[in-house]
Amino acid sequence: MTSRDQSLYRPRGLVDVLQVPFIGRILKSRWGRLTLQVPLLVIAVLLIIDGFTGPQLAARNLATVAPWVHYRGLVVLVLLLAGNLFCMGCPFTLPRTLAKRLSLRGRRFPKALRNKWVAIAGLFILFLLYEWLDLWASPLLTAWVIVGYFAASFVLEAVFTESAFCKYVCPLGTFNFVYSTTSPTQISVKNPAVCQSCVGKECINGSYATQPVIRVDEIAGGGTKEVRHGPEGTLGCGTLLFAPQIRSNLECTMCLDCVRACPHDNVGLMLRQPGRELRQPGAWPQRWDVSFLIILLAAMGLTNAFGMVPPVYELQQSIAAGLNLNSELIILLIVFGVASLLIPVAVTLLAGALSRLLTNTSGKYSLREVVAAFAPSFVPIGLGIWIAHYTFHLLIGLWTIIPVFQEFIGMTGEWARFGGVSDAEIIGVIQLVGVVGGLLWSLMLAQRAAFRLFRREAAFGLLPWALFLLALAALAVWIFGLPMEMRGSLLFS
Amino acid sequence: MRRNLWTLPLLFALLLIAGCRQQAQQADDLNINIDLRVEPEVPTVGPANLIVDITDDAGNPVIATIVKARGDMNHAGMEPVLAEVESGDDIFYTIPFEWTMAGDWIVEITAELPDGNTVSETFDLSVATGDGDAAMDMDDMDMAESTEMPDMTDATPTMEMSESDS
Repeated sequence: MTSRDQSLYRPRGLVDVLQVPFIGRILKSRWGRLTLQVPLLVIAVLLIIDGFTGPQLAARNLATVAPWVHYRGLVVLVLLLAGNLFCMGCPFTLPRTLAKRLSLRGRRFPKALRNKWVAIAGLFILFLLYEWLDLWASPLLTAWVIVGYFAASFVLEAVFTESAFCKYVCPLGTFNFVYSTTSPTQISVKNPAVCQSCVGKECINGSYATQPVIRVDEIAGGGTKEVRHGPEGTLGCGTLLFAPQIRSNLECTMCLDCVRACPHDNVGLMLRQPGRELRQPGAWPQRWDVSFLIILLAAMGLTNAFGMVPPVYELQQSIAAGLNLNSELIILLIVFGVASLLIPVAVTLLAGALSRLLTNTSGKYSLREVVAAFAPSFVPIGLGIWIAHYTFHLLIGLWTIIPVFQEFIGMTGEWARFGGVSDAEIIGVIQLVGVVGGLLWSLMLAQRAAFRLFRREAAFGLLPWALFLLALAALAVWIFGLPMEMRGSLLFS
Repeated sequence: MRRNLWTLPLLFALLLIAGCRQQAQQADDLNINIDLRVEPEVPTVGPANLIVDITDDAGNPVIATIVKARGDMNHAGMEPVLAEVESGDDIFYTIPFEWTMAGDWIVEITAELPDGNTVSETFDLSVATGDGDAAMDMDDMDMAESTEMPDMTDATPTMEMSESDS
């Protein structure tokens, strides 16, 4: 039985980012999140307007350039270097906030769906649609995707009490959750003793009430604290995380509602060693859905990049000829279903089984426990692959946003001045650093997990996983070494 | 609710901005055709020539003061290829060009006419890596099989006209 003291968690090195003058004050203020959300909402509206009314040429429309080039490129870098700032500033949650206030007496998300399987399916469907509908080439469809996001967020939050959209559904948020586990920041409490004596647990329950309420709490160390709830209060954590028990960023949107709701000013955004939770055995639940989310997202990074190089078209043509198929959707479903789901799942189970077999620990650890122990090591290689892919697009088209915006507001786009490409060699080096750096970080984590589980037999237990990680990295280097070739419906148009 | 009223003028301003985008007028009644051939005739990554022919409906050559070509990949954010030529060789305008990447391209040809009008037309085509694994989209593109102008009766180009130097 875990004691109450042990259940509270406090990471080492408590440097609170929210104590930084000005920035901390803005973020902690009641409207702090809006300072990020409003600019992103304005951008989202611009994208929708241009997507629906602008030229249907991807390279000259904000709806395609901003999300598929700049957002994706920036998000992977920000996750690695700062934290989940894009969930923090997510404009889709603006209507969500209204919806949530409407749904305070609503029902919880169905228990059977309170896991990551829906998120895995959502990610797979998004990447499949991306290829099938050529979202990267269609401003109109991209604008519809943005509208769909606003609608889905509002509906789910209106129907269910918790932030079901963020926690269980949103593919973008799921991506951010997974790779924010490498971030150097994390929500944490300053003094766990204060949380033990806290009556209202406002960090999770919120301080919002329809009528003003004043409560007087006894606080740790003696004394009392007047706690006010009311219409001006803050909603509690949307993803139902209890601040003193947070050990992972895996479901944290960094909305800072817990910080604002805490009447004791005991919650902060702490600096930590990047990826610290990946080394901690108890930081993540040992569940199949969580483990497969991490591993499959790394595999999806490969297949998403594979969709941009010549061999994918040859593969599609041979499948079409071999199976006598003429449906592009079915062929893409086969290609990406096998490469993103079936093969990674099979290899994961095989690696887990081999680990147990080679170390003779089948009676000691279940397959689920072994897979869960090694799953965190797939975060860095996955992030490395996504960085290699997305920074390629970002650096290739970094300045094109300027002439695109110039044309949007009626000016003549200065394409000759801003359309130039970044140095290809530098981009190649960044891609290589992303993949190789990710691989090395992953191998270190896997080695650590192997020593923790298998002790003297660690080398044997590590071998299948190391080969799996090396295969991912080798495939990534091969794909990124190929010339990019963007085509729409080559076979079927 | 009152707090959120500021969003209304903001959205109105955004819509106004969007309305400022330069819109090319449809010019079906201008009776001008822009035809395009490329050399080599199967586009492959590397240098190429775009050969532009501008005629009226009767097939008479139309003189342009400047003819510009702009090539975009169908993926957002890729570097556009820009080229132009100021004077034609007889009735054709030959624009040195370069296909920088294999894949689907959208080429926009814009001709500035002596009367100040600008006519533009877009062509979709597919560029191969060099081993001839892709070809032009025959719906929108004429392939040069000889030095003579091909029959354009089946082409379905998109033609737009706008005021020059707008």
